[in-house]
Amino acid sequence: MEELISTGVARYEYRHFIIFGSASQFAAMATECAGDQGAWWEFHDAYLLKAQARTFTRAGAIELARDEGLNVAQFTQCVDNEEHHDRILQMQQQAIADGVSGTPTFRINGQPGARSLSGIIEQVHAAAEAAQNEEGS
Amino acid sequence: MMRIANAIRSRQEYSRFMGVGTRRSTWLWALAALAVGVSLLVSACGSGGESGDQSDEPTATGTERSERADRQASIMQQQDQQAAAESEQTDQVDASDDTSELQANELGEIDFGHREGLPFIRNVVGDPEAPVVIVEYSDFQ
Repeated sequence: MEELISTGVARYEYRHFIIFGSASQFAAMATECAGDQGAWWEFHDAYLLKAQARTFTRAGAIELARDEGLNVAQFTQCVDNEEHHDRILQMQQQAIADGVSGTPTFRINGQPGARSLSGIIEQVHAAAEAAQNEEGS
Repeated sequence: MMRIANAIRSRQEYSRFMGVGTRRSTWLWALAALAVGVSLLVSACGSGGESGDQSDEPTATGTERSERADRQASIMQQQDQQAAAESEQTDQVDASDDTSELQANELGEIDFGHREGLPFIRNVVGDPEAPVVIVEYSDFQ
C-alpha cells in the first residue's frame, strides 16, 4: 500500500465514521485539533494503533498533545470548542451518502473496496490503469 | 240647436284632437317603442358582446392558460436543466474543493512509523493529484 502511495499511484484518505458514540467522536475531534498543529497522524496512531484508553478522555488527549509537543492551550481550546465538529459531521454524512454502514469500509475512486489488502491493491492497480486509459483517449 | 251644433263641433274638435292626439300618441309610442327597442338592441348587443367576450374569454383564457402552461413547462424544464447543470457544477466544485483544499494546505512529511517519508496533509497521505483515491471510513475504537 505504501508503495502505491509513495509512487504517486494513489493517495489515502482516512475519514471518520463514528459508530461507537461520544468517546469515538471526542477522539475524532482531538485528532482534527492535533491536525491543526501538524500532528494528525500521531494522534491517529495513538488512538488506532496504540489503542490507549486514556486518550479517549479530555485529560488523556491533553496529555498526549503535551507529549507530542503541541501547543496545549490551543489544542485544549480547539477540543473544548468542538471546532471540528462540522468537519466530522460532514465526513459522517458523506459516509452515509456513500452507503457506508460499518467500519472499516474502503472506497477506491468512489467504488466499494475489497475487504482484503490484496484485493484493494488489485483494485487500485485497475483504477490507475483505467485512469491512464482515460487520459490517453 | 246651438247646443247640438256646439256639441257636434266640440265632438269634431274632440275627435280631431283625439285623432291628432291618437296619431301623436301613436308616434310617441312608436318612438318610445323604438327607443326601447334600440335600447334593448344596444343592451342585447352589449351583453351579446359581453357574452361574446365571455364566450370568447374562456377560449382566450384557455389559450392563455395553455400558453401559460407551455411557458411554465418551458421554464420548469429550463430550471430543471439549470439545476442539473448547477448540481453537476457543485459536484465538480466539491470534488475539486477536496483537491484544492489539499493543494492549498502545505504538504508535510511523515517522520515516524510505517508511513515515514510519505507526504501528508491532515488526514490525507500521498500525492494530492494521484489518479486513485483510497478512502477508508473508520472509527478509532
